[in-house]
Amino acid sequence: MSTKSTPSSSSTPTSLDVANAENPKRPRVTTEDPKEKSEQDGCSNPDLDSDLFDKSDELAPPVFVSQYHIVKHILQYLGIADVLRATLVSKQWAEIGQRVRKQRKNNPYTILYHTYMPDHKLAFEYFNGFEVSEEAKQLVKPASKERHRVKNYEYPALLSEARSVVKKTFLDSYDEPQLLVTFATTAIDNSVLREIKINGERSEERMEWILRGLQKTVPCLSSISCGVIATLPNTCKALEMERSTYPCLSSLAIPKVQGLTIKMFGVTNQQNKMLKKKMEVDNVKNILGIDKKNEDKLKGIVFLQRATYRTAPIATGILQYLRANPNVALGGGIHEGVFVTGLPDDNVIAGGMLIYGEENVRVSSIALQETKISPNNQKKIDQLKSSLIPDGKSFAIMFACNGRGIGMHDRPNVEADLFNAHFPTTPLVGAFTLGEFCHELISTGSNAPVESPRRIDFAYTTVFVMVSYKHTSETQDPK
Amino acid sequence: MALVRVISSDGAAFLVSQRLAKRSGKLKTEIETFRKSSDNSEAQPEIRIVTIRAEILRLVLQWLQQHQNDPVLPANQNEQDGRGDAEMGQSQWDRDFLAPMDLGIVMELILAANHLEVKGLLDITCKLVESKITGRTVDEIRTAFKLKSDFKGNEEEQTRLENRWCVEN
Repeated sequence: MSTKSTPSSSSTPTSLDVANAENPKRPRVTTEDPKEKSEQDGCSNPDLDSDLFDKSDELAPPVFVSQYHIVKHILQYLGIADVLRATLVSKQWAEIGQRVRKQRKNNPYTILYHTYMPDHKLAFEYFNGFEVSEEAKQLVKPASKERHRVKNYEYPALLSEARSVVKKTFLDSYDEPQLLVTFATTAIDNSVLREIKINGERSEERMEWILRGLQKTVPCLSSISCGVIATLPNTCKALEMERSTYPCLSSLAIPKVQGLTIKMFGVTNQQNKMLKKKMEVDNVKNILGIDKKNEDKLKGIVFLQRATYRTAPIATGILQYLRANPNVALGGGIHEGVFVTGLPDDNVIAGGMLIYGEENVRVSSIALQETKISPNNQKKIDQLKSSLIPDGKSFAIMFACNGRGIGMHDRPNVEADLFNAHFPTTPLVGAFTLGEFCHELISTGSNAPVESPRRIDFAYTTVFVMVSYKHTSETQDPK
Repeated sequence: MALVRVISSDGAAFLVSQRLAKRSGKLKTEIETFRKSSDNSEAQPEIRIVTIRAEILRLVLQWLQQHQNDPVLPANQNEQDGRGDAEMGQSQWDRDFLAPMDLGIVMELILAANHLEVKGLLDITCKLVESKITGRTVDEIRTAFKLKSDFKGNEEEQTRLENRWCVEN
């Protein structure tokens, strides 16, 4: 049966199915309010914009805007920034907006910034300095009569570009994050320091130069290191950037998910010193802010330490804690700078996050210790894979020793590719570090006893922390 | 072919096949209710929709007819994973179908699709309205939907502060 009638035509659809048999007086206008009539009159332009925004006449709102589930249905499609704006429209919309936020099945996403965007692969290829193609050379040093400068930390637009990329990704996202983990190369920090020098403006939190304002909405855990691992937005393809002199920044937006609570912590110099004098597990708990009530739900710790000591007392403290609680996964590394929202940079010796989860959350961690992609390393990746919640979502953080990467594998991107091959849909961010922390744990949802860690600090390893979760079933709407 | 008479609020009757009508959750229930209460299994059901006028009802039926062979989506699929549904189901035909409508018609169509439980149509019409909220300021949204702020005292300011990053664009 063919029904190719133009949808807009006012002719009666004629077919076997819809037979407008008994319709002597097809009423065009019956009892509408005057508003609609006026809109019909002026409607030659199919674009609704003109109808929506140029009418300033004082009329009753259209019926549907007060119908709970219709508004909800509409808001469900909106990106998170639009949902939040809609909650400011009226009380009812605020209530609906809150519900939409609560029910939203948020997923993680990544943010990536470097100075040769959007040519990620070429830029990464060039700066990782391995078999550089002509194309990549052209990107960085185009053959032109004008003198070209490599866009390094002195690239003037760097910070404003980075800011707008971070903010735009954030505002355009459908998903709502609860925490932002950001890894940046030393070049980014140098650029910030340069800006501070030029402007004479000092800030207690350097990352504010890039995240400006965002930290007020979402807490941010950031680090500066000699290289970053970044997942390309949307594709989850991970790339390694090992050059500390090239400005590159990657962020992971950890989603708001029911049952998954991430608490950021920062360790100050004083707390660290205090611990040196008195190493007690209770002190460690206090410093990390481990909540007594929810301690049984603590499933993982991510720990970033500033490279001041080889092993700070707080790291020893975490080892003590894990000996008493071996069912908590740990991953982390030593970075050149660690920044925690709300704490002045100079005072932070370490930072990190506590990952609390209900039954719908699993946190696992593995360390690849052998220098090649050995069968043993392969086995660990397989175990990590087996720990994922079936049909769930996941995100991961990687800490690789700066001695691995090209230096060890003789070609770039080996471990990020390995991860990608096994977890093609898992967003991954990470850093090249000066030492790694890990307590290996494969979480399978059972409470099988885990061996206490003998040590948590390693060198020349690659550590993965994997969080997998499943959205819990929906909470019901009122009536 | 079993038929059903669907009558609009203003008395226009549409004779449609039951197979088609049953793609609306509401009409399906009504037909089944009629079957149970009727002794004569051959009798033709008659359903009166008091909230929808003929012009809108005709559009709904037209949409249903166009999409009669689409797979039936579970009613709450949208809640499962809010993104992307409408784009997936939106054909060129849908775009042509919606293009000439003014906002008044679209709104009536949303109400009708909601009332008759026609998920696909509700999705595409809501999506259309949604695209008018995207990127607008709070005041623009209020103007568009002729809504007034009913926040008291500093309630609005409070919410605005909490969501500063999305309001100050």
